[in-house]
Amino acid sequence: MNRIKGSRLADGHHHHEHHDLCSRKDFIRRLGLFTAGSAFVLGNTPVQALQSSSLFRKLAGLETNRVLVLIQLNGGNDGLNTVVPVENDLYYNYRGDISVAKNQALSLSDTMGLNPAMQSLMPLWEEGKMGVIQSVGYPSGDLSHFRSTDIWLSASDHDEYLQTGWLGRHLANENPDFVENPPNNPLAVQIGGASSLLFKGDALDMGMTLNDVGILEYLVENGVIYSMDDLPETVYGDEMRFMRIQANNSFRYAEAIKNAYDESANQVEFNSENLGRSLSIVSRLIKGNLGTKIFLVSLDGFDTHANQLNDHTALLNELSTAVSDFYNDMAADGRSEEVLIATFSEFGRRVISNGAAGTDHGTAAPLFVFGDSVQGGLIGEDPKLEENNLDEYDNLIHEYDFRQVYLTLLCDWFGISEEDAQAALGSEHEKVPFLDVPNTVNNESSTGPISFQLHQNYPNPFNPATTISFTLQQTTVVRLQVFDVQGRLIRTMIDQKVQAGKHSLVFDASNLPTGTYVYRLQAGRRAETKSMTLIK
Amino acid sequence: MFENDLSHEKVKQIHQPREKRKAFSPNKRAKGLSTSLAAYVPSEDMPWNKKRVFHVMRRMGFGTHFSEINSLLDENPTAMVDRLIDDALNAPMPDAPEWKDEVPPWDMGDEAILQYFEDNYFRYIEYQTEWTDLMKAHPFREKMVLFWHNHFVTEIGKYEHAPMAYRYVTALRSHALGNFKTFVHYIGEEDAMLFYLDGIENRVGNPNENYARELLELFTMGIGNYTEEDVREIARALTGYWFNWNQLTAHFNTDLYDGGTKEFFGRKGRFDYSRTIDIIFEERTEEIARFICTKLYKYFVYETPNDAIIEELAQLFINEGFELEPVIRTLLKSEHFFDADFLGAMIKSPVEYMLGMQIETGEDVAGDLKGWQPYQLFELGQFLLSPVNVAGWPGYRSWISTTTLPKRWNFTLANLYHNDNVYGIDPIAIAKGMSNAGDPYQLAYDLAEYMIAVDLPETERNQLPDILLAGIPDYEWDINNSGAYWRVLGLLAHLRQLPEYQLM
Repeated sequence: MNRIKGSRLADGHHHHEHHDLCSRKDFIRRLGLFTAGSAFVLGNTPVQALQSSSLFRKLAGLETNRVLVLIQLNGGNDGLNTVVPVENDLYYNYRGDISVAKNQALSLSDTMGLNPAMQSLMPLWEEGKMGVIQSVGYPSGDLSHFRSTDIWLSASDHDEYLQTGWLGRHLANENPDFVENPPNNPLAVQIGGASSLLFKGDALDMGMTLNDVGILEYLVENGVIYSMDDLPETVYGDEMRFMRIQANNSFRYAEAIKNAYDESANQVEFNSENLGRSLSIVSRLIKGNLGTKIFLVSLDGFDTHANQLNDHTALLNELSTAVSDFYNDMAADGRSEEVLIATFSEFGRRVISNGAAGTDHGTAAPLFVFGDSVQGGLIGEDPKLEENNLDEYDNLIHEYDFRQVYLTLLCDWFGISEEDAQAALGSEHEKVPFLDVPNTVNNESSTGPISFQLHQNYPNPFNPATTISFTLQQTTVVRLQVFDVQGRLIRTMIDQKVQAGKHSLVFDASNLPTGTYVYRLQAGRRAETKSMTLIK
Repeated sequence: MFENDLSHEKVKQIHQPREKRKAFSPNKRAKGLSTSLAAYVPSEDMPWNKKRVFHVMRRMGFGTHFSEINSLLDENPTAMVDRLIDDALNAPMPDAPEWKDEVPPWDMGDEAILQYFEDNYFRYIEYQTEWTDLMKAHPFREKMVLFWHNHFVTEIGKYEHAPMAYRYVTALRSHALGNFKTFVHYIGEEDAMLFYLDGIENRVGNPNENYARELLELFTMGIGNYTEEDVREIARALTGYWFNWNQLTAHFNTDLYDGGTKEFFGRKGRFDYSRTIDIIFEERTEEIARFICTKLYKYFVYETPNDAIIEELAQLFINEGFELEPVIRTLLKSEHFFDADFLGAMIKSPVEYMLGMQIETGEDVAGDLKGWQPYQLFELGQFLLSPVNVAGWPGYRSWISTTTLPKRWNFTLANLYHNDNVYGIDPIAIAKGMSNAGDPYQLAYDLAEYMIAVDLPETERNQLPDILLAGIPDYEWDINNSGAYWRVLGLLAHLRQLPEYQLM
């Protein structure tokens, strides 16, 4: 018997390491360490090159650049006063003093008109980029905000209680390697509110939630989540300072988000204070190629039980302006076709107005979709207000189940098979034809983006001149522009047809102040942006 | 801003050997300068409130379950500290594991021996889990055991034997609130310690200074209070031990002992082990008292010691003949310990973090999942029975890095959102345990107060009700609605991910 202590205890030690290795893998699975973050997102690898994650490759390669922007109208939007049945006398009987007059409404069809507060959407409507899916709801509509919100987020039946969201399940199904290869960009971003049920997968939260747009603004401005200000002058304050530095440095998406923001610019001014703030950042994150596929923003205040006219008008105006600005901003960079915008709300409102110049909770309501791929127009039949067409509580009966809309989004926008989409939704439905999207599985079609490379300028930093180069795979019209970090156009360097091959242009900044500038090359529908620094 | 991913190896490098490790330089801010060791009496300036209840329960243990809050508030704070200490003194010793006397079956062949070490491995992993259970059952005593584990350090990676680990931890537990001098006498002849610091290699004519050096530097008085000559001479006095490789026990044998004359600390004689320890305490009384009191202070109060308080505690320690209990009672009952400056100023260790989460929710971690707890602590940097080196876990800010903080966040979410809720967390019960679960504002503020040691900044605090409501109007809040479940969970997750949650 070998009694040399080294070898004997080494045996033990060998075992120790062996177990250590096996068990740690299992253990990470067992403990459910596939959480992906709610208020922050997580993972123990700081941000690396975006391409390092197989997930990112998958998203980037397979799905094209399609992004879904969901706008949640909290409180229950009054559908009848949004898309108004202007030829229906019953509407005017039921709604009395809070109705929208026919001669004020913006004509959508012979029978339906849009609330005049939504004027800014009319260009989209006229271009056929706005769809109105009428009477969307679900059977046995629940009139509780609490419950109906959860039903819309989870895509459950009215009597089914799910703790996961439809998009969370979809993302979880689509990203089985989320644990092993956590992405370096958030799969979904929610601005406002708590970590939404919407992005919750079976065991994990697939999205990143920022409780307030202010946090996102702070993040894109400073590259960190937590401020170092406002700490008390105490020993506790010192430890908090340390902790916030660690938290800021650990927040894995910060750099990707800041980079995307810095490498993009808004081309139009966003006019709305509330929703517009969120959407202007969303726009920059998309244009900066963050890679996030789903954004959820929300607008509160639709629970208009009293004095509805003023409040509702302001909200619809806010919504319309923000959507219009957002679309135009994407379009200005030739990227509108990457985006689909959809609104939803937990319910519509009662057909008959209440005694307080408002409306109580109802059921079905129209839902808007916007985008280049949308089949513009009214979809479905006009709301039926006759008493025998209402439910026992005098509410509208839906024509489309909201899950039909979800199914269509998953299949026709994200290119998921109908089978997978039904699985994510947990129920079977039929699609609603509101999208006209070329089939895009493995998007290699001839309509695909024009291939080019935009190179980093040289020298960089520079003073006063630098050379910007790009390589084109085919002869095409290109536009190369330089912006300052506020997104103001400084110079258009080229805007014409250019031969395939490598091209270099000298950018002379003699008359410009020190700072970071962004240059963007656009060719066809594709644009790429890089930044450069002028130091005088 | 972003460091590269820190592998475990790199994390280990951060925990460099103590002589190379740079001390953190904590601030020079006011730290309880207006409070003394006088017993805490609640006042308008220093009210006895939930914050202080949680302070005591977190610092002296691992947290509070919400069901206890009201009865704790009804207690007199110093009486409560006394009670917690009495509980620790009266707590029964845990049952010995059935394998405590088992030794490797050396004569049964390789297969049996391998099997033994296989079992042995799982035994000491399980033993760690049992220890964390004990921490919840007898929080203050085990908090002291953990303190001593990080003081009289041994690493299981060196001795690799569950029964030795059991004997070692039992020794720590037996002396945790006893006499420090007696403790030092005992620990130097403890099997795991003799094995770990090479006491069993320390022989007449061939001394090994390892234990003698750590005895002075880490276990009693700290560096700067002895010479290299003292180390050499004391090492000679501590010779005479050998290791029985059959039984895996250490023993004294006069033949191995250096019976010659030794000279240290100005004393000269044929000192043996016991006499040597006595002399160390006689000749370095003040230094030892200050060294130990400083360490206790850092463990319970704050990282930067308050010199006046340490001095007073040290004198008490000396006057009490190195009895630990009176010193600890005095410190923990003092107004200094309750000083508002220290609320939330301590960084939670992984054990405090993990058990704190469990106690807070009242969750019952059971079955297989519980068996993974030691690995969970390993991931977070505190593998029990295995401090990073003989100086122990450096603790304080070294607990938190861009590697360990995201891991803490991950554990938090895994804990709350695990498949099938294996942790058995009931967010509705937690909400109902607060003062008014029916009021979303009150509930949000209550949960924040329950989980966070300090007041959150106003902007942070104001967001909490919205986070709880998650889009529904406040008048519709109903804790019995099915949608309350994920909303409360969402707020718990939010609070646990705040940087403030890492502090206590």
